[in-house]
Amino acid sequence: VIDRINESVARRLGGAGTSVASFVRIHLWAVAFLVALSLILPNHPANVAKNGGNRKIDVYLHDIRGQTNVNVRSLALDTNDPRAFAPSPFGKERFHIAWITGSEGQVFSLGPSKIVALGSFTFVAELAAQRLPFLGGRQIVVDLYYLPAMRLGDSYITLLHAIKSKPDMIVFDLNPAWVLNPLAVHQWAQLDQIGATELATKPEQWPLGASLFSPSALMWGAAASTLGPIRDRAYYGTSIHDQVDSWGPLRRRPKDAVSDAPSLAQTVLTMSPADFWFQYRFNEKRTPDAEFWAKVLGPSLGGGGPLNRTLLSDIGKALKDSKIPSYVYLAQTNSTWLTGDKQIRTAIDDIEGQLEKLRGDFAASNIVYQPRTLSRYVHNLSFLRGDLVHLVRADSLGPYIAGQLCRLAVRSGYNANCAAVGKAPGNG
Amino acid sequence: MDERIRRWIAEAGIGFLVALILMVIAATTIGTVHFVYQGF
Repeated sequence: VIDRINESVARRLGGAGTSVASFVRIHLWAVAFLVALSLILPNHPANVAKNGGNRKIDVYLHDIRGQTNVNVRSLALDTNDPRAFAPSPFGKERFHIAWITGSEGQVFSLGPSKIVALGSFTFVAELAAQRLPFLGGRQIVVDLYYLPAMRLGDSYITLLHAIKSKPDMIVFDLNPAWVLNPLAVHQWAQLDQIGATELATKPEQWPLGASLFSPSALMWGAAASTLGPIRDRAYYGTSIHDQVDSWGPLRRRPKDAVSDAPSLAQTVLTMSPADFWFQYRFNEKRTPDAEFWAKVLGPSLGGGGPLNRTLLSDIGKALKDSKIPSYVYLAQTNSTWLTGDKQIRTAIDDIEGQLEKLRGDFAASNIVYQPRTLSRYVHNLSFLRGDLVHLVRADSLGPYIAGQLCRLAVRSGYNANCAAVGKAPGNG
Repeated sequence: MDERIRRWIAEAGIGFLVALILMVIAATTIGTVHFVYQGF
């Protein structure tokens, strides 16, 4: 029967696909049609304002237009969108600060029952920008490259992406809990495509690329850089899902979604790497106290992860090569624990010492590198209960960071009146 | 119809289908496994 079908198909299709030459021609046709489709189909550029993807993490992304003359916008797209970040919505005439941060760059608000009020918070970037509305005679805008739980590898990929937009200044923070921690160096998979493509152009970084990404990320990245429909596949994916998800057997009623207990595999696959290692390697559960956080810091001590050191060196090189004025700092650490808890104090001392040894990687006239935690310079910071880095009050942080950025701008040849920014509190 | 022309039309048709299937795969294979952010 198979022979008869083959014979019939071969006869009707004139023998297509039955020889090597024919097979090659089919592939060439496929490529030609892909190129033709990418020329014919309209572009669907990522757009922060229209970004449907922000639906999921909307609470993390907000807009403070109208509050002052300050403009701060998160460029993060949906977590399934491999373009990862939208282009800045602000005009080229503004002074663009690319601000790369995770949740350590947020200041949370507490609700009535003293728990975090979702959707009600500000960013350290906003506090600083309010104190520094103009630089070099131009109104500043902050292009916020923010993802919650951003790890060092995520930040590095984001940095490479941000540099391509040629910002006027870069702010890059290091999270004390994760900067040297080998348990989680890369978490957000939507960055893989742009990361693999960026690193492919730097042969000396191919080992790093192989450590962080799969070959498919490179394939998708290469395809996306030449073919519009592949680049915009998140748009098409959303459109297809909007159509087909309600079809018969594919439809999931809300009842099913809550009543299905997740299997162990589902649970493990959706855990963050850090949570996975804590639970299955160290048998530790999160507890909101200094003892738990001392354990989190444990793997960072006495040398930390080799991949982390490579990443830090690469971050320094990318900033040096960019020649863009850059401020790199170690984010705040729970001030009470830093002075009162021996384990935390020893751990942070160790991390600061290691980062100090990497100063050479950041030695350039365009970089201010601050490897000591912000809590050494800024006082009166309040933290979430039982938390190492997350802020709930940081009134003095805005003037301090604005002062640092202003001095960096002046050093880089911009006109700015730093006295008006306000004196930075303490500099010890 | 000449067998050669038939073969070329068939090859182009298969090529078009392959391109279309690739695009559908591209659009529907993103974000299938993703960790759920639980704070931190």
